[in-house]
Amino acid sequence: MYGFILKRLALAVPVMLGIATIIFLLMFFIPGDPVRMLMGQHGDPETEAEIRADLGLDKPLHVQYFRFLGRLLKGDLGRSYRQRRPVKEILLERLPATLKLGTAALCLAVFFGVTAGIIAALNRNKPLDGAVMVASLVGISTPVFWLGLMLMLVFASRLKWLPVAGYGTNGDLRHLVLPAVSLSLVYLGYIARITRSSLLEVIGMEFLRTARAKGLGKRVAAIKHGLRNALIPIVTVIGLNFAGLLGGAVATETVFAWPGIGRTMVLAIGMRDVPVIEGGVIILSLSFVLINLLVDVSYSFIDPRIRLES
Amino acid sequence: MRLIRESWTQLRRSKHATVGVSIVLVLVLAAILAPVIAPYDPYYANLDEALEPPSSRHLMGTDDLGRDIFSRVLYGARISLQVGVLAEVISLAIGIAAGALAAHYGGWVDMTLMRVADMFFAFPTALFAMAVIAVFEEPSVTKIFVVLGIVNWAGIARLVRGSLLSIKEREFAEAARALGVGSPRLMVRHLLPNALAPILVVATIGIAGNILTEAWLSFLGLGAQAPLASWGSMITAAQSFIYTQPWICLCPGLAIVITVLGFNLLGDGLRDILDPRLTRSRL
Repeated sequence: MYGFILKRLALAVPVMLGIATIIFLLMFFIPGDPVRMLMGQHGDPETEAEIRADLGLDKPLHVQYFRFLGRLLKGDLGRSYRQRRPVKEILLERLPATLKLGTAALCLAVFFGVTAGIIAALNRNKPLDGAVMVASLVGISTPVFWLGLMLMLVFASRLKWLPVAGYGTNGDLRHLVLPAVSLSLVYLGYIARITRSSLLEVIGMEFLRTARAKGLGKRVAAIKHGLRNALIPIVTVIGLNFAGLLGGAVATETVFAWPGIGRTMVLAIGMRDVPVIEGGVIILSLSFVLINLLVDVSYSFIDPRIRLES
Repeated sequence: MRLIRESWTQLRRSKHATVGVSIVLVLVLAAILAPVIAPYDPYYANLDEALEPPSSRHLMGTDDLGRDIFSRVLYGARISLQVGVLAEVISLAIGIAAGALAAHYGGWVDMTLMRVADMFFAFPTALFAMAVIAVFEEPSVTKIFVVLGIVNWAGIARLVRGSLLSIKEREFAEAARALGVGSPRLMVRHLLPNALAPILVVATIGIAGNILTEAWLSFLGLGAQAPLASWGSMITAAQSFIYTQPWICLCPGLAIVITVLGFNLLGDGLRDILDPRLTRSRL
């Protein structure tokens, strides 16, 4: 078991290295000189050379590359051009808000997505199935940021049920509802569709007929025996579409003025504060890699045969 | 002509595909004919008519500069379709080439290409596209479709490699080889055409994804720059008027939903038609 996890972890290393390398090359070749950005309008050549040496920007490419990797390993993401403090500090401050939003959206999407998928599969080719499938396709086709604005218009501005935007004071979950719902809807569509199709695939299998033959009801058989066997594709889709959730979080946080990493990145885009953008991408990519690692490991819990093979 | 009629008959077999293809065709026509259909110049600001609600004069109302939203939405279709399709063409070119090379040579070529593809698969590609475009001083539509095309090839490469590997072993391929057909010709004339069906499905759904990502990037200020009318950037501009003049935000958003839905429906329908594997089973 541990061997299996270790093997997966080892596979994640080159991926993160690849992400770091591309980020480094981007930083290296971007038009616009970071030193000039740091100094602003005024600055004499001497100070410029000093800052350049200080940041190690006078060294050749490969030296800079290994220094960059070394810093990354220590968790150092560089300094913000505008805020003059470590990027790590800025992003860590924002992480809890993003985690809160992401977790809430993920839970909503998984719970309602799987439920909708089961309902559709049990009512295959009936109007209810059609309705669930059309709704999930529309959900997949809707841009998260626009959905957020529309929900805000209806539920916050017109109906005044929920606050318009912002984080709210501690413990007030009402601020979380609209951002989490809009972020979850797209994801929900993917999960509902894959739940339906993978359930339909196992529904024809013999073990389910056995379960039915021993007297289990249709619903109980599908949920207790069917879902367990249909779980692998569902978990895979949850992992793969997590990237969409991250991108969606960037947009949702912007719409709802949610003080998370995504909003910080968008503000940084506006100010061309490159280290903050790249740091944010590194952190979000890391979370994507970790989630997919978790998905891989969960396969062996869902289906013990996978563990034996490794 | 016969080909068109035959494909239409095939498409009619799936309700999804029929609706999808109709939406896509209408959109393509609207985009091409935008200069003819649009009642106003999409860039012409007329402050006397600013923020007007939808009426018979302005079908979707006007924005804060008095520009006609219907005309701007029509012109926006050009950008969305252009980015969606061109990015997919780039992804297809890279993906098919990589997949074909991997399947043909096997060994270390296959290993290397597939590991690189794995790496791209493990990236949150849209975020990556965002990082790349954000470091450029001037974002543009061209940069978006080039970057999106480059980051999204991995899925296609895997798919092409997989189907080529299985097709390679089929009798007709063996027959062609026995007749002395050379490898490049075998690949292009015999193998690839037989792998086309799943590629078509993935590419159609890919276009939908590209259009959504373009809207997202434009919304974040990384896409088409003013005064160009892109659906995403129209929504950004409309945010300030969401409570007072919601139609400014509503129309471009609906345009995105309908367009993306059209391509998704078409992709779904094509899959149903081309892949009758889904068995009719009932609990």
